[in-house]
Amino acid sequence: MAYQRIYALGLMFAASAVSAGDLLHAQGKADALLPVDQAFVMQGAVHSGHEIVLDWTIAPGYYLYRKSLKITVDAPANAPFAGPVLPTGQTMNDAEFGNVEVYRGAVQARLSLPADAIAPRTLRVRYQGCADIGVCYPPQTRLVAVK
Amino acid sequence: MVAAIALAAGATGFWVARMMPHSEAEHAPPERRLAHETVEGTAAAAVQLPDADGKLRTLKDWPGKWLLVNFWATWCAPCMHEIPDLIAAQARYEAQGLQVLGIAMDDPDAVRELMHDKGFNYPSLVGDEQVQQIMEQFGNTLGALPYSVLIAPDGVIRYVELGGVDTPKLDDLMQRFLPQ
Repeated sequence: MAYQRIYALGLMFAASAVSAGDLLHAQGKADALLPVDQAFVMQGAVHSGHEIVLDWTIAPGYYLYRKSLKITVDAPANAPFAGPVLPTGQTMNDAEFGNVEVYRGAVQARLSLPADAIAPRTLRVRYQGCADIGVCYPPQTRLVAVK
Repeated sequence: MVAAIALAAGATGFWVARMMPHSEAEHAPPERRLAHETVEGTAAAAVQLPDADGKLRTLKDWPGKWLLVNFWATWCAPCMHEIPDLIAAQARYEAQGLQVLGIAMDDPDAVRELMHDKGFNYPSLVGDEQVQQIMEQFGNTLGALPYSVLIAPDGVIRYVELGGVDTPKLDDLMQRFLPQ
Protein backbone atom coordinates (compact mmCIF):
# COMPACT_ATOMS: atom_id res chain seq x y z
CA MET A 1 0.00 0.00 0.00
CA ALA A 2 1.08 3.54 -0.67
CA TYR A 3 1.24 4.60 2.92
CA GLN A 4 3.49 1.65 3.72
CA ARG A 5 5.93 2.73 1.03
CA ILE A 6 5.91 6.28 2.32
CA TYR A 7 6.36 4.97 5.81
CA ALA A 8 9.33 2.84 4.70
CA LEU A 9 10.88 5.82 2.94
CA GLY A 10 10.46 7.95 6.00
CA LEU A 11 12.11 5.31 8.12
CA MET A 12 15.03 5.03 5.71
CA PHE A 13 15.75 8.73 5.91
CA ALA A 14 14.98 9.38 9.51
CA ALA A 15 15.70 6.20 11.40
CA SER A 16 17.65 8.13 13.95
CA ALA A 17 14.91 10.68 14.48
CA VAL A 18 12.11 8.31 15.45
CA SER A 19 12.04 4.85 16.87
CA ALA A 20 10.99 2.08 14.52
CA GLY A 21 9.70 0.21 17.53
CA ASP A 22 7.40 3.07 18.35
CA LEU A 23 6.10 3.24 14.82
CA LEU A 24 5.41 -0.44 14.67
CA HIS A 25 4.09 -1.14 18.10
CA ALA A 26 0.45 -0.56 17.30
CA GLN A 27 0.64 -1.68 13.71
CA GLY A 28 2.68 -4.37 11.86
CA LYS A 29 2.47 -7.32 14.20
CA ALA A 30 -0.82 -6.66 15.87
CA ASP A 31 -2.86 -5.53 12.91
CA ALA A 32 -1.68 -8.47 10.84
CA LEU A 33 -2.56 -11.01 13.48
CA LEU A 34 -5.51 -13.35 13.04
CA PRO A 35 -7.84 -14.48 15.80
CA VAL A 36 -6.81 -17.94 16.90
CA ASP A 37 -9.76 -19.69 15.24
CA GLN A 38 -8.86 -18.11 11.91
CA ALA A 39 -5.17 -18.91 12.31
CA PHE A 40 -5.90 -22.57 13.10
CA VAL A 41 -9.16 -23.68 11.52
CA MET A 42 -10.47 -27.00 12.81
CA GLN A 43 -12.40 -28.74 10.06
CA GLY A 44 -14.10 -31.16 12.45
CA ALA A 45 -13.89 -34.86 13.21
CA VAL A 46 -15.24 -37.38 10.71
CA HIS A 47 -15.94 -41.03 11.52
CA SER A 48 -15.36 -43.31 8.58
CA GLY A 49 -14.99 -47.07 8.88
CA HIS A 50 -12.63 -47.87 11.72
CA GLU A 51 -11.14 -44.45 12.12
CA ILE A 52 -11.85 -40.84 12.98
CA VAL A 53 -10.06 -38.16 11.02
CA LEU A 54 -9.50 -34.62 12.24
CA ASP A 55 -8.24 -31.87 9.97
CA TRP A 56 -6.84 -28.42 10.57
CA THR A 57 -6.12 -25.72 8.07
CA ILE A 58 -3.31 -23.46 9.21
CA ALA A 59 -3.05 -19.92 7.84
CA PRO A 60 0.21 -18.88 6.15
CA GLY A 61 2.67 -17.52 8.71
CA TYR A 62 1.30 -19.64 11.54
CA TYR A 63 2.25 -23.03 12.91
CA LEU A 64 1.02 -25.65 15.37
CA TYR A 65 3.30 -27.58 17.70
CA ARG A 66 3.08 -31.34 17.19
CA LYS A 67 3.78 -32.07 20.84
CA SER A 68 0.86 -29.87 21.89
CA LEU A 69 -1.72 -31.66 19.78
CA LYS A 70 -3.64 -33.94 22.15
CA ILE A 71 -6.91 -35.77 21.64
CA THR A 72 -8.95 -37.55 24.30
CA VAL A 73 -12.48 -38.93 24.41
CA ASP A 74 -15.06 -36.75 26.07
CA ALA A 75 -18.12 -38.96 25.54
CA PRO A 76 -18.82 -41.70 26.01
CA ALA A 77 -15.97 -41.71 28.48
CA ASN A 78 -15.11 -45.37 27.96
CA ALA A 79 -14.99 -45.27 24.16
CA PRO A 80 -11.61 -46.69 23.16
CA PHE A 81 -9.37 -45.53 20.36
CA ALA A 82 -5.72 -45.74 19.38
CA GLY A 83 -3.63 -42.76 18.42
CA PRO A 84 -3.69 -40.10 17.35
CA VAL A 85 -1.42 -40.86 14.46
CA LEU A 86 0.17 -37.61 13.40
CA PRO A 87 2.31 -36.91 10.35
CA THR A 88 5.92 -35.89 10.65
CA GLY A 89 6.12 -32.15 10.94
CA GLN A 90 8.72 -29.62 9.95
CA THR A 91 11.65 -29.29 12.30
CA MET A 92 12.03 -25.81 13.67
CA ASN A 93 15.00 -24.78 15.76
CA ASP A 94 14.10 -22.54 18.62
CA ALA A 95 16.77 -20.90 20.72
CA GLU A 96 14.81 -21.70 23.86
CA PHE A 97 13.13 -25.02 23.16
CA GLY A 98 15.66 -26.58 20.75
CA ASN A 99 14.39 -28.61 17.79
CA VAL A 100 10.63 -28.78 17.78
CA GLU A 101 8.24 -30.29 15.25
CA VAL A 102 5.62 -27.98 13.82
CA TYR A 103 2.83 -28.14 11.26
CA ARG A 104 2.23 -25.51 8.63
CA GLY A 105 -0.50 -25.28 6.01
CA ALA A 106 -2.53 -28.28 7.12
CA VAL A 107 -2.40 -31.26 9.41
CA GLN A 108 -4.49 -34.37 9.78
CA ALA A 109 -4.79 -36.54 12.89
CA ARG A 110 -6.12 -40.10 12.66
CA LEU A 111 -7.63 -42.15 15.44
CA SER A 112 -8.07 -45.91 15.03
CA LEU A 113 -11.22 -47.53 16.43
CA PRO A 114 -11.53 -51.16 17.50
CA ALA A 115 -13.92 -53.05 15.24
CA ASP A 116 -16.51 -53.94 17.84
CA ALA A 117 -16.26 -50.97 20.19
CA ILE A 118 -18.47 -47.97 20.82
CA ALA A 119 -17.27 -45.03 18.77
CA PRO A 120 -16.60 -41.69 20.50
CA ARG A 121 -19.33 -39.11 20.01
CA THR A 122 -17.37 -36.17 21.35
CA LEU A 123 -13.64 -35.61 21.45
CA ARG A 124 -11.67 -33.19 23.57
CA VAL A 125 -9.00 -31.68 21.34
CA ARG A 126 -6.12 -29.54 22.57
CA TYR A 127 -3.62 -27.69 20.43
CA GLN A 128 -1.31 -24.73 20.62
CA GLY A 129 0.48 -22.66 18.04
CA CYS A 130 2.23 -19.44 17.22
CA ALA A 131 2.69 -16.86 14.49
CA ASP A 132 5.97 -16.24 12.71
CA ILE A 133 5.80 -12.57 13.63
CA GLY A 134 6.70 -13.60 17.17
CA VAL A 135 3.61 -14.23 19.23
CA CYS A 136 1.97 -17.39 20.52
CA TYR A 137 -1.62 -18.24 21.29
CA PRO A 138 -2.62 -19.93 24.54
CA PRO A 139 -3.40 -23.65 24.37
CA GLN A 140 -6.82 -24.15 22.88
CA THR A 141 -9.23 -26.85 24.02
CA ARG A 142 -12.25 -27.69 21.89
CA LEU A 143 -15.05 -30.22 22.33
CA VAL A 144 -15.57 -31.64 18.88
CA ALA A 145 -18.61 -33.67 17.83
CA VAL A 146 -17.74 -36.67 15.71
CA LYS A 147 -19.74 -36.73 12.48
CA MET B 1 19.84 20.50 2.71
CA VAL B 2 20.10 16.71 2.62
CA ALA B 3 19.41 16.57 6.31
CA ALA B 4 16.35 18.77 5.88
CA ILE B 5 14.97 16.53 3.11
CA ALA B 6 15.64 13.44 5.18
CA LEU B 7 13.92 14.95 8.19
CA ALA B 8 10.92 15.99 6.12
CA ALA B 9 10.63 12.52 4.57
CA GLY B 10 10.91 10.95 7.97
CA ALA B 11 8.30 13.21 9.45
CA THR B 12 5.97 12.51 6.54
CA GLY B 13 6.46 8.79 6.89
CA PHE B 14 5.89 9.01 10.62
CA TRP B 15 2.72 11.08 10.26
CA VAL B 16 1.22 8.95 7.50
CA ALA B 17 2.10 5.72 9.25
CA ARG B 18 0.54 6.89 12.48
CA MET B 19 -2.60 8.16 10.84
CA MET B 20 -3.44 5.62 8.15
CA PRO B 21 -3.66 2.43 10.18
CA HIS B 22 -6.20 4.03 12.49
CA SER B 23 -8.27 4.99 9.49
CA GLU B 24 -7.92 1.47 8.12
CA ALA B 25 -8.76 -0.08 11.48
CA GLU B 26 -12.01 1.84 11.62
CA HIS B 27 -13.14 0.05 8.49
CA ALA B 28 -11.76 -3.35 9.41
CA PRO B 29 -14.09 -6.19 10.41
CA PRO B 30 -14.69 -6.23 14.17
CA GLU B 31 -12.48 -9.26 14.72
CA ARG B 32 -9.52 -7.44 13.17
CA ARG B 33 -9.93 -4.30 15.25
CA LEU B 34 -7.65 -4.36 18.19
CA ALA B 35 -8.58 -2.63 21.37
CA HIS B 36 -4.90 -2.18 22.23
CA GLU B 37 -4.87 0.90 20.04
CA THR B 38 -7.39 2.57 22.30
CA VAL B 39 -6.22 1.66 25.81
CA GLU B 40 -3.23 3.99 25.80
CA GLY B 41 -4.20 7.00 27.87
CA THR B 42 -6.87 5.13 29.82
CA ALA B 43 -6.84 3.95 33.42
CA ALA B 44 -5.42 0.47 33.95
CA ALA B 45 -7.93 -2.15 35.02
CA ALA B 46 -7.74 -3.58 38.51
CA VAL B 47 -5.74 -6.77 38.82
CA GLN B 48 -5.91 -9.25 41.64
CA LEU B 49 -3.95 -12.46 41.22
CA PRO B 50 -1.67 -14.65 43.30
CA ASP B 51 2.05 -14.36 42.78
CA ALA B 52 4.22 -17.41 42.13
CA ASP B 53 4.30 -18.11 45.88
CA GLY B 54 0.53 -17.95 46.18
CA LYS B 55 0.28 -14.53 47.84
CA LEU B 56 -2.61 -12.44 46.51
CA ARG B 57 -1.35 -9.24 44.91
CA THR B 58 -2.79 -6.17 43.17
CA LEU B 59 -1.14 -3.44 41.10
CA LYS B 60 -1.49 -1.14 44.11
CA ASP B 61 1.20 -3.18 45.83
CA TRP B 62 3.73 -1.13 43.85
CA PRO B 63 2.69 2.48 44.56
CA GLY B 64 4.60 5.26 42.84
CA LYS B 65 6.19 2.91 40.32
CA TRP B 66 6.17 2.81 36.57
CA LEU B 67 4.82 -0.71 36.10
CA LEU B 68 5.88 -2.65 33.04
CA VAL B 69 3.34 -5.46 33.10
CA ASN B 70 4.52 -8.34 30.95
CA PHE B 71 2.03 -11.09 30.08
CA TRP B 72 3.89 -14.32 29.41
CA ALA B 73 3.92 -18.13 29.69
CA THR B 74 6.49 -20.89 29.87
CA TRP B 75 5.09 -22.46 26.68
CA CYS B 76 5.59 -19.24 24.73
CA ALA B 77 8.98 -19.14 22.99
CA PRO B 78 8.92 -15.39 22.21
CA CYS B 79 8.16 -14.81 25.89
CA MET B 80 11.23 -16.79 26.87
CA HIS B 81 13.39 -14.81 24.49
CA GLU B 82 12.55 -11.45 26.04
CA ILE B 83 13.03 -12.43 29.69
CA PRO B 84 16.77 -11.60 29.83
CA ASP B 85 16.00 -8.14 28.43
CA LEU B 86 13.26 -7.61 31.01
CA ILE B 87 15.63 -8.69 33.78
CA ALA B 88 18.22 -6.24 32.48
CA ALA B 89 15.65 -3.44 32.32
CA GLN B 90 14.56 -4.10 35.90
CA ALA B 91 18.16 -3.89 37.07
CA ARG B 92 18.99 -0.83 35.01
CA TYR B 93 15.88 1.28 35.58
CA GLU B 94 14.73 0.31 39.06
CA ALA B 95 16.32 3.43 40.54
CA GLN B 96 14.33 5.56 38.11
CA GLY B 97 11.08 4.03 39.32
CA LEU B 98 10.57 1.05 37.03
CA GLN B 99 9.00 -2.13 38.32
CA VAL B 100 8.67 -5.01 35.88
CA LEU B 101 5.76 -7.26 36.80
CA GLY B 102 5.10 -10.53 35.03
CA ILE B 103 1.63 -12.00 34.69
CA ALA B 104 1.87 -15.61 33.60
CA MET B 105 -0.91 -17.58 31.96
CA ASP B 106 0.43 -20.82 33.25
CA ASP B 107 0.78 -23.41 35.97
CA PRO B 108 2.25 -21.96 39.20
CA ASP B 109 4.78 -24.77 39.57
CA ALA B 110 6.08 -24.27 36.03
CA VAL B 111 6.30 -20.52 36.60
CA ARG B 112 8.14 -20.88 39.90
CA GLU B 113 10.67 -23.29 38.39
CA LEU B 114 11.31 -21.12 35.37
CA MET B 115 11.66 -17.96 37.44
CA HIS B 116 14.32 -19.72 39.46
CA ASP B 117 16.12 -21.07 36.40
CA LYS B 118 16.11 -17.72 34.59
CA GLY B 119 17.07 -15.71 37.66
CA PHE B 120 14.07 -13.40 37.70
CA ASN B 121 14.71 -10.15 39.57
CA TYR B 122 11.06 -9.14 39.32
CA PRO B 123 7.87 -10.80 40.56
CA SER B 124 5.26 -12.57 38.51
CA LEU B 125 1.61 -13.12 39.16
CA VAL B 126 0.05 -16.34 37.91
CA GLY B 127 -3.36 -17.35 36.62
CA ASP B 128 -5.22 -19.18 33.89
CA GLU B 129 -8.41 -18.02 32.18
CA GLN B 130 -8.46 -15.01 34.46
CA VAL B 131 -5.23 -13.80 32.84
CA GLN B 132 -6.92 -13.89 29.46
CA GLN B 133 -9.71 -11.67 30.81
CA ILE B 134 -7.20 -9.26 32.31
CA MET B 135 -5.32 -9.09 29.01
CA GLU B 136 -8.55 -8.18 27.24
CA GLN B 137 -9.10 -5.40 29.75
CA PHE B 138 -5.61 -4.19 28.89
CA GLY B 139 -6.44 -4.14 25.20
CA ASN B 140 -5.21 -7.54 24.01
CA THR B 141 -8.37 -8.95 22.49
CA LEU B 142 -6.55 -11.68 20.56
CA GLY B 143 -5.05 -13.28 23.64
CA ALA B 144 -1.63 -13.68 22.05
CA LEU B 145 1.61 -13.52 24.01
CA PRO B 146 3.88 -11.87 24.87
CA TYR B 147 2.08 -8.63 25.64
CA SER B 148 3.50 -5.72 27.60
CA VAL B 149 1.78 -2.73 29.14
CA LEU B 150 3.54 0.30 30.63
CA ILE B 151 1.48 1.90 33.40
CA ALA B 152 2.41 5.28 34.89
CA PRO B 153 2.39 5.88 38.66
CA ASP B 154 -1.00 7.57 38.26
CA GLY B 155 -2.44 4.31 36.96
CA VAL B 156 -2.75 5.44 33.33
CA ILE B 157 -1.64 3.11 30.53
CA ARG B 158 1.04 4.88 28.52
CA TYR B 159 2.18 2.19 26.11
CA VAL B 160 1.29 -1.31 24.97
CA GLU B 161 3.26 -3.77 22.89
CA LEU B 162 2.09 -7.04 21.36
CA GLY B 163 5.07 -9.27 20.71
CA GLY B 164 8.51 -9.39 22.21
CA VAL B 165 10.47 -6.46 23.52
CA ASP B 166 14.25 -6.23 23.46
CA THR B 167 16.78 -4.04 25.19
CA PRO B 168 16.91 -1.27 22.53
CA LYS B 169 13.14 -0.99 22.61
CA LEU B 170 13.04 -1.01 26.41
CA ASP B 171 15.78 1.61 26.57
CA ASP B 172 13.80 3.76 24.17
CA LEU B 173 10.65 3.39 26.24
CA MET B 174 12.39 4.15 29.51
CA GLN B 175 14.06 7.23 28.08
CA ARG B 176 10.72 8.46 26.78
CA PHE B 177 8.68 7.86 29.88
CA LEU B 178 10.76 7.53 33.03
CA PRO B 179 11.98 10.63 34.87
CA GLN B 180 15.60 11.21 33.89
